[in-house]
Amino acid sequence: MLGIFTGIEVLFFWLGFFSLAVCQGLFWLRYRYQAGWSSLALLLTGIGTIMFAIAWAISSVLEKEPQSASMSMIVIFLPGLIISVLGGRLAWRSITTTA
Amino acid sequence: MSSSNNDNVERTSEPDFSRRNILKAGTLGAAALATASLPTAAAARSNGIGVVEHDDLPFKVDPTVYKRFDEVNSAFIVNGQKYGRANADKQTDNTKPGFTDVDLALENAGWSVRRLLAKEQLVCGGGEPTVLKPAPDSIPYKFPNGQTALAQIKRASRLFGADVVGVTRRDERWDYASFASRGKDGSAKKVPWDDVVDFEPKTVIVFGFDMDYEGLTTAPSLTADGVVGAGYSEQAKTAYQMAVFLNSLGYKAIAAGNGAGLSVPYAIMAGLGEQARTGLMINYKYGSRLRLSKVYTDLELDEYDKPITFGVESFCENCMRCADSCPSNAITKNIKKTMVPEHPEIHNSPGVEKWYVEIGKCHQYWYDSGTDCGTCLTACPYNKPDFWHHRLIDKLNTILPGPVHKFMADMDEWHGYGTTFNEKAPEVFWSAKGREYDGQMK
Repeated sequence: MLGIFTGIEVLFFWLGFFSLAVCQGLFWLRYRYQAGWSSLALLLTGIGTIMFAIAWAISSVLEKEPQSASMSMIVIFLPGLIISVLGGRLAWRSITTTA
Repeated sequence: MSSSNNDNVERTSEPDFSRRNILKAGTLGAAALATASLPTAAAARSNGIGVVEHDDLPFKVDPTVYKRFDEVNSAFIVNGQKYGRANADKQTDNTKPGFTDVDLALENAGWSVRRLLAKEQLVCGGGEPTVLKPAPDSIPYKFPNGQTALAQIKRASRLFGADVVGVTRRDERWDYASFASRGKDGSAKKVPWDDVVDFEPKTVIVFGFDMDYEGLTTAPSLTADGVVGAGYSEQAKTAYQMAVFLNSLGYKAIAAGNGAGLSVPYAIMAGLGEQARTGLMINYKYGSRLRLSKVYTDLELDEYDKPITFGVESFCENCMRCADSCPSNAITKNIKKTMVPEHPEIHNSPGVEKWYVEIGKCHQYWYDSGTDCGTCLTACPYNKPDFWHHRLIDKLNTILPGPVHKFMADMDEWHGYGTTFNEKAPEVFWSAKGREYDGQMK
């Protein structure tokens, strides 16, 4: 990127950016809507897993192992998505109750 | 009452960013960091998660059975006498990826420095080694202490090209009992160690060299042979430079590649890695993709590196990728290591706890395929490019229990790693795009 940063450096910059955004989102859910700890824990685990899957997939593409990128979507991203949806639904219940 | 409760809800729904709360969060964070940086419970694990340091060899040797190896019994010498040097005349096929004229040129150039240095026996790849001697009037330099000596030897080795370095005490068990002196007619006769080496080595410095990942994934091919050849050239150059370095300090030295003694046990003693099913060594950073060389010297140190283990034995017991991929079925599928080979042959010395490889079968395939094979190195799940996610999995494998290793090995295969006889691999190796993640040429 710009002849300055390598692909891995750019990847980890954006991972840091999204991690901060996720933390802010979870704080917002907790303090604005009193979302339960269980829903926050599920959301954190799910989104963390999704971010890990994305990091794995991009790294695999960079190292020219596309099959590894595809597999990471199936074995890491999908479970992460399921956990996030569960956490999101629980959090949504708190939002609707508070509202 | 209810009004009072609602007031409470209102208050807690607002984020409380008071100085007191921020200080509280900061204190919690500092406590978490301090806890994470505490030494782990297992004091022996001083080199990172799951790495255990040993005072002695991490495998058994039966002194009543084990005998020092005579070099004339090596597959290279035995088969060389029968058929001539392995692949002295490799064939190309410009329609077959990995076997084109360009791949052969890569192979020739890869080996060139090693051939040059080995021609004058400046580096011993086999046969009688040359003892490099300091000037007769030179006084050996005294290092201020053992730590400084280790640090300076390792720094110099890295400057000269070694990727990893370990220093260990010389152990006669791993030195050849006799060297193979080759005649012009191809014959080989035994020359005892003491007839050639006129000094008593005290220390062996072992160097490891990372071989190119993309190139090795083309195995078996001439491209992979070029990568292996480049590894040999690097090991020869570094070993020779380090022998001269020690000479300049007033010590005698022998620069040795595969020659003079067994590199794998020496590398294990020097803490560079752990024994693997392939009969080779798995390094903690470069896995199976490590080329070894060594320097014998009469410099004696106060302290030496210690052998380490990091879960390779358990992984190899459960994995079998190398054994399944080996085109000559030379790698044993015994789950546990044994003290004697299942199929005894003169190329192996029994009495050491390891997985014995049928070297005769393995080397025969080199002749049959017209390559130096290397399939087991490519298939091994420890053979990975230097990426964070592979380092993470390696660390996880050191602490995970045995049965999970089978699952990890299967996952590795499903993720597309370790594919052998891959005709697309040479195209990736020669790709004009190159690699962008590490800032190399596009």
